[in-house]
Amino acid sequence: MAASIKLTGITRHFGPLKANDNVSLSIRTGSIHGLVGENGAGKSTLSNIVYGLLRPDSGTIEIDGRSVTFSSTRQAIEAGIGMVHQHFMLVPTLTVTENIILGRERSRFSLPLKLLEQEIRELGSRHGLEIDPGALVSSLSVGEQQRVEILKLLYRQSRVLILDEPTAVLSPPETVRLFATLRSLAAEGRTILLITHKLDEVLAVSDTISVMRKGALVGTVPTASATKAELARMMVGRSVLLKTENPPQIPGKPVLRIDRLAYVAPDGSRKLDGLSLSVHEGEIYGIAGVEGNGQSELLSLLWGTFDRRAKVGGSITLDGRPILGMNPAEIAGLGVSMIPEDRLKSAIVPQYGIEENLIFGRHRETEFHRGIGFDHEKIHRNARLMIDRYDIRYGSGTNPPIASLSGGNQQKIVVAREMERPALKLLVLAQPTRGVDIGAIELIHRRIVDARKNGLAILLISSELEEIIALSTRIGCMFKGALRHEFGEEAVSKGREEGSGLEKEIGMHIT
Amino acid sequence: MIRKRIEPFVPALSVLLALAVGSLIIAATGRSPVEVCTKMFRATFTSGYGTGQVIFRATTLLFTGLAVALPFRVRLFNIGVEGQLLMGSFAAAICGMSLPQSTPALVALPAVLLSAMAAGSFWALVAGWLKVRYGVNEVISGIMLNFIALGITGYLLTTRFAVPSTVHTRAIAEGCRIPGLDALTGFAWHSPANLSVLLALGVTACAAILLFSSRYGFDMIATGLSPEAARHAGIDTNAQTLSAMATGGAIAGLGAANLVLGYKHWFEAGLTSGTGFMGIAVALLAGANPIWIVSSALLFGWLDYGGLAVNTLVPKDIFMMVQGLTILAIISFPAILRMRAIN
Repeated sequence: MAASIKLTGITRHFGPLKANDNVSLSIRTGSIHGLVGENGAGKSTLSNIVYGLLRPDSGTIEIDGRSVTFSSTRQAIEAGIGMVHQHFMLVPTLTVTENIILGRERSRFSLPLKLLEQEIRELGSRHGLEIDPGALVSSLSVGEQQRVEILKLLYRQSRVLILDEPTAVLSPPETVRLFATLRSLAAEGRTILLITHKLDEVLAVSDTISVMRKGALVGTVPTASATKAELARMMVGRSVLLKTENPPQIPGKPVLRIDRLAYVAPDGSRKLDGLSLSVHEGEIYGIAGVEGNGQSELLSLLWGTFDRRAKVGGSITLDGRPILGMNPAEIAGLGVSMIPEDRLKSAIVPQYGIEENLIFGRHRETEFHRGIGFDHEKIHRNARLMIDRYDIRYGSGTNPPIASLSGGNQQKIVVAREMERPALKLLVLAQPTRGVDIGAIELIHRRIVDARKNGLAILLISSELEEIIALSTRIGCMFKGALRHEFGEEAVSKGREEGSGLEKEIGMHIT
Repeated sequence: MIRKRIEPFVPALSVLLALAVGSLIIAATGRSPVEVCTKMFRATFTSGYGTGQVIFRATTLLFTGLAVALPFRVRLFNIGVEGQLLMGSFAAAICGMSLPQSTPALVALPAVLLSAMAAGSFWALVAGWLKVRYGVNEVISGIMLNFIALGITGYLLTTRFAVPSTVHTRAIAEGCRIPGLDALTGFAWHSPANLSVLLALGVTACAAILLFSSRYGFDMIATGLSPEAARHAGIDTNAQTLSAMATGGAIAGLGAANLVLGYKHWFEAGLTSGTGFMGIAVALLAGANPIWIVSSALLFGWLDYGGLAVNTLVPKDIFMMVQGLTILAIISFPAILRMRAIN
């Protein structure tokens, strides 16, 4: 069949970095084409080039056999290309219909809203994108907002749809539903380019899969003949263990107790509603759930960074000592470490070097002090030790800014710093492997399990069910600010052996 | 890539660009830029009095520049520095004139300096507190506080403290005066330059150590670079905001050492004459780096006095334009380069 998009020899530099290196790719009309690769492999650069956001240094783009050069996204949109970004581009104060027609109004003067709403409703029901066209976008769930984004492209009659990590914000049932929509769109003759790092998903939905590594296209394979292990090997460039050893262990006494925790945000929305759980020594308690069900608020209460104007109820105790209302320095002083959700924003100072970041947040420990400043010799030695122990890799120089490292290596620095805190009792991990390459995930998972073996109490919050199941001793399913169901030790270890059954069960409890 | 290589030279390039444009403007007014420049150099560098004037002006600018630079490190724009300098100077004068004439210098000097610091600090903390407690933008509150400071000092001066039929207060006690440079060294004859320049350099050195070699500075810079990460790392960012404002205000208040204790020996209307605002320019040109502030303050001090010295040839307004252009260039250059780098 004819190629919808044909890329030939696309190269794009950012300074000395080759973000795309001679990429040639042909995407068949009416197919779902998966593009996988680790963070920084060049997937986003390539899609931005197709969408007209970036111009290639060299190489050509053909759409339906015609050679094109886009100097703006406007031209790409007119050529029938549409993109759903990871962060939605919607105006929250406008309705669904208004958002969809924004910039595509047919007349300057009249706006036949009723007619348009009808049109959008029909368009939606054809592809499983049901949504109330009159609803305000701010009142929609994340999954519904994504439907609006897709409808926007259909309304613009896009023939090619680029989706960048569309499942990152979706619950498992929503993901299933999205995939059904994508298949129905492809069956209609539209072409879909699906960018993701989740191998299971791309295997489930795509027709063809292309793998990128370090800016280059490593290979394109038909999905029917691809396996997960093979794709992982292509992505990383070597064989990887996809499963972390996780032997059972008898947990000790409880360390963290959360009792009927409630949180009402200053705007009146109830984010936590009677959440209770306990974490014991030598266990990993996993909290599964779709983002936005109160996880961020729970973390902010655990670490003392919550908005003090919020109404808070219930209690959090560490070894019987109440910690709710303490500030982060006091909580850390009791032997608690936290790996926050958003690494770049909350866990590191991008302009600081590796050495400074390895003590950041622990810089009040007197061991690192000398006079009114720091003992740079000790900080340097600490860094050498951590770089060695956690396999932190960086380019050149003795202490380059952390921003120059890959996401995985940045996260290794955060993990190293937090896990090596003296007299550590409780480790709170939020999305510990988000934006982290497979090689680094392996290492981080191994370190987490090792820490548990040494008797640490660990609370793990992750939206990746696979990760939750692979690591947890017990699993709590979080929905609308409370735990709706808890899977005990036996159920979890049994589920881990048996495969995908547990994942489906958890999926039911978090939606 | 190009941006990386040019970046360290942006301040110098901006100054050169501004001077070039300034020369063009001078040429447009019908004067020869070379002639004006020669005269400026002669008036400042080859005359002891002129050099003293430049040092005097640079001294106040060092204080006000630092007062802007330190809060700038925690993402605060201390535009209220003019008001802080005004309050500090007024407090110093009132304290100084209230002391008995016979007070020994060892008591009088610290007392007056402390009152100046306290007044400047207090005035800055008003803006800092409004910011931390209610999220009020410190730029808006700073501008308003400048007006209010002008009003308070003006009112108190005319109704209570002014010596009848003048616009200044009584002179401060002997013990709290800072001797002029000429009295000690014979250098900079009859110029207003005084020993408070040493105090200014000392404060600059302390600020540099505080910022770059102390744990307090580590917290401060982290707070400025990434407030969210700093909060997570257990740094009290509100305390950082307040203490940076308090320190900045105190240093602004210390400007009184130069203006009141070293030069006028009293407070008068129009004493600060915009040196606070020029401090903002000084800090920006130096990239809020205390060490560079020394050269930046000297440059602006030189432009300030040099402009005055060639007043007969070129109106002083031209030099105000050059100062403004310099800052405009410093702010726009990196932005322009960034735009270039993207596409």
